[in-house]
Amino acid sequence: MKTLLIVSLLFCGTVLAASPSSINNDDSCDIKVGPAATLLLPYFEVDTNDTTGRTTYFTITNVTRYPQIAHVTLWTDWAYPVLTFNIFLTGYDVRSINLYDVIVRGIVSPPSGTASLRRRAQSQPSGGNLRTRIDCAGTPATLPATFLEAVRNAFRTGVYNPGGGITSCSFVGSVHANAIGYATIDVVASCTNLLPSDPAYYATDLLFDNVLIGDYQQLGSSPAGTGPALALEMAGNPMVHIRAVPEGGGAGSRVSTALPYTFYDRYTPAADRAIDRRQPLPSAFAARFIQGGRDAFATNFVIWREGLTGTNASCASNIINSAIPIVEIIRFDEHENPFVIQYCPFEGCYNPPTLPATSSTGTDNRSSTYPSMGTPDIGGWMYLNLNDGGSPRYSVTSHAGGTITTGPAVTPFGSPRASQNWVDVTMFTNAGVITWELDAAPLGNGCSPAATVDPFLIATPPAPAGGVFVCPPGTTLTNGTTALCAGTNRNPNP
Amino acid sequence: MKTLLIASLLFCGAAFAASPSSINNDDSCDIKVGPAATLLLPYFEVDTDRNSGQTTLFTITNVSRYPQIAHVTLWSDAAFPVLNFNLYLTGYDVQAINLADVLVRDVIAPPSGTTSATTPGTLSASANGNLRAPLDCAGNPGVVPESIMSAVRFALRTGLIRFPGGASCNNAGNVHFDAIGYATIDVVASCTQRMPSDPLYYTNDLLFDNVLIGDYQQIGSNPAGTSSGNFDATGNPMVHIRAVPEGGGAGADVGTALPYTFYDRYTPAGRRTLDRRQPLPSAFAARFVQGGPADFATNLMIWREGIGTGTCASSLLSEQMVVPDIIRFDEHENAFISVGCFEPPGECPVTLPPTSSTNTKSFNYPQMGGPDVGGWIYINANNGGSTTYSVTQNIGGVPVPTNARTALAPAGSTTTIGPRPSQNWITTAMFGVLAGNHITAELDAMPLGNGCSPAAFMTPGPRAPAGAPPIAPAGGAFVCPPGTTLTNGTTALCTGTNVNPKP
Repeated sequence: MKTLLIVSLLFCGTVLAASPSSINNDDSCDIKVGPAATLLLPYFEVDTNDTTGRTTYFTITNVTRYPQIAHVTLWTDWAYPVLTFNIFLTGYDVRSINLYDVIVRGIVSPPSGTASLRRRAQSQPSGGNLRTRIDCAGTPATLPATFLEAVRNAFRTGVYNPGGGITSCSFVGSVHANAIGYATIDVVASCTNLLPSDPAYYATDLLFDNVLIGDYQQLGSSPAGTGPALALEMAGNPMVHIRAVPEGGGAGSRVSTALPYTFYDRYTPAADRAIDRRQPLPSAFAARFIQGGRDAFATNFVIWREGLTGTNASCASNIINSAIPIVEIIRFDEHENPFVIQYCPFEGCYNPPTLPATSSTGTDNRSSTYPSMGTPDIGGWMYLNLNDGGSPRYSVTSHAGGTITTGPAVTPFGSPRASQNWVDVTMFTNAGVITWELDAAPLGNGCSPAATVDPFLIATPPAPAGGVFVCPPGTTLTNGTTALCAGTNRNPNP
Repeated sequence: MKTLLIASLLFCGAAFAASPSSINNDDSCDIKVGPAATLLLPYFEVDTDRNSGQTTLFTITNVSRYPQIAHVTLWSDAAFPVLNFNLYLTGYDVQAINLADVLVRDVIAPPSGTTSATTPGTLSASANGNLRAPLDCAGNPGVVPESIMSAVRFALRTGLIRFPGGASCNNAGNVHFDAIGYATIDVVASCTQRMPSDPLYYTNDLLFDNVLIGDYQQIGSNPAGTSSGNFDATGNPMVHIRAVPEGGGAGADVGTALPYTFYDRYTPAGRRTLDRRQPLPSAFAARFVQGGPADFATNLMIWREGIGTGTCASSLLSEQMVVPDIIRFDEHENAFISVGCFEPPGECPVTLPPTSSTNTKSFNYPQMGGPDVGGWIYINANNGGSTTYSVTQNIGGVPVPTNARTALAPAGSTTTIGPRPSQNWITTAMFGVLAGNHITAELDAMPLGNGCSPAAFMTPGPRAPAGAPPIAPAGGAFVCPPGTTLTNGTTALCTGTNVNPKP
């Protein structure tokens, strides 16, 4: 009987441990393509002089019958928010934005912007989660010329001086010929002008309905970030779909989430750091590349990175977002030969590569970011652990008690956690002008502990997940052993 | 006291409902791009006559340090398995396959195939305890006999199976100039020759390690499935289907909370979820653009779960499966509807085979009545269900498969037979010519809900039941966590949920 009881208990334990925790929609830390509450356009580039035609389009769709307000924020490549505008979407609406229209022509959604006046038979009238008095009728269709000039300067020169009582800053981004940055698009309750860097945004404006889908296209005669030498015509990809977990509730709702931290962590109110409920992004990725060969292939990695500054950051502090360290990169060629940039914290050693908050960089051997390939192979993949090592601006919140821990305290997620990142891969060639873009594959998710780094011996399997065997309770490997069953997909709760 | 008790129970319920159930890796029914145990290439098209250069390339990467075997199966467009081969991947290996090499030049992974005799990289492990010993991959063929490959080409172009010395079939696919089908790629324990349509594949060969990532490129002068000419190449990740939970040896019989699985209809009768592969959803939102100064066009590549068990007879049933509900929204949210018809009989529903590439201007999709050149399409691709499908109920800790209707096929939904909706996947290829340059982009359509969601209802209208919810199994109605209201302080519209029923 005792044996039977133990067997029964073991069986219960096996069933419990072996079962996935959720079969529900939108109910995990994994990032998927599907209706979301925030969309991230990880990189945009616009030729403001109109000599190359380079621009970035994005399209957002409201998949519900209720009207929604999409709050667009354009950030510099040093994660400085420069411009916000609202797009009123009727039920089932779709809206395309050419960022050339916005940044050069000063027109938001031509010909006349978006307003809360349109509606079709299938769509529902205003109401629900929008504020009772919708303030979108006056959503501006055009931006004042002087302000527009300041916006362009911010994205091209890193100097932002809009006048009109707005504080100027000379350290908001890098200097480049084109306007470069990234965009966030949030579901909100009103046509607010608050920026996501303002804690009040989360208490009054942000909504939690997973209702937006979006994609983008990068058009131009050369790949983003590489200059005019190479050929690219268009690449497109879904935006990053960041869901509110759990979904729903009115503006300012305070609902607990089991997410240990959130996408907007460093901007949220000090006492409620997970109030946005947005899924966090992962830090480790597998990204394929191809470079050279008969067709002169090349690959760019478009990499978005969480900045190190928080709310009320000083102007000068933005500089730290210009060179955010990268913990580890390993390049594998087609014969699995690994190539590593080894570094150490001592003077005289190789410094770790850095990238700003958003960038598009070539993977070929001229790059100083990626390890060079010492073989004649023309392809392979890279393991990218883009964790920046943590920041005092980051936090984790325990699910059980709501205790907030900020850096530099050490938690199972890092110090206090790994930074958030996203990687897209663009492959292109001059021969036939072939291009395509796709997401790199995250290894683990934003709730995974920080990946272990072993820059000297590289003996540790890369990534927080995928490098070692996971064996459900009661199982063995095919050879009957369990000695290598050291892996787990279970993430800690802070 | 009673009130307090009820309030306490409500609170417990609220706390439970408000928290996400999983922050773990790979631990949900949602499909994401990330290391997986099965990759689905939803559509391939290869010009076997070498006229247009149309071909499909795919690349798979083993992100673990252990060697893995990737078992590739090519299926016809009526879901008949035609060819399989194995790719031996050393730790951290990447392998590209041009299907023109396979189907036209009869070569797998040129010049000489993949073999376990390959020397692994310095970071790669030399052995994998999950592979069968002794390893049988040293003889993986690099070149396949022309007698076999000519039959494969014939099958993928004509739907006629005529393998030398084998059984024949006249219903294995549709007729087209190019070789058209789809591919599955599974992690397995040996260089097996079994097809995924064989139940023994699941008890002997299939593994459960989420270790593969993959992408594909469609290259050619014409968009796949059309004859328009504004196209060079597109690429996209393959569909990454994870084993949930991950791990265990070949044949490991582990419980899963997934109500059914990707390979459901092929698995052994007593253990229908043995593969533990995530199921795919049935409803999608797909953007389109057609017309305008760039002469844009859009093709939708739609993969659909077939009916039956992969036999010749069942392929005939799969060749034309109903798409019950398609709504096109233009840029001004005008809705154009083609409502499929399970009843009354006599109307003409849209039908599509298990894989296809169709232009959004075609009559498969509702025609737009206005001058707009873009918008999006709601597609409920559920084929109406089948009694060859199953869901597995957990009754007292015992998995019990059933083919009867369940909570995943609610009354009035678009599942009219069997226990659940069918599985589907959609990608969108947009292409055009701008200033003389060909421009293309391909991306996944957005699933609405996931494979564990109940079947969607018909679009509100004459054929839908009274009070039918808005389109899609999820996303059409407000979801409010317990204790919250909408911004206007009300809860009357809080009728949505992300909680999927257990069958």
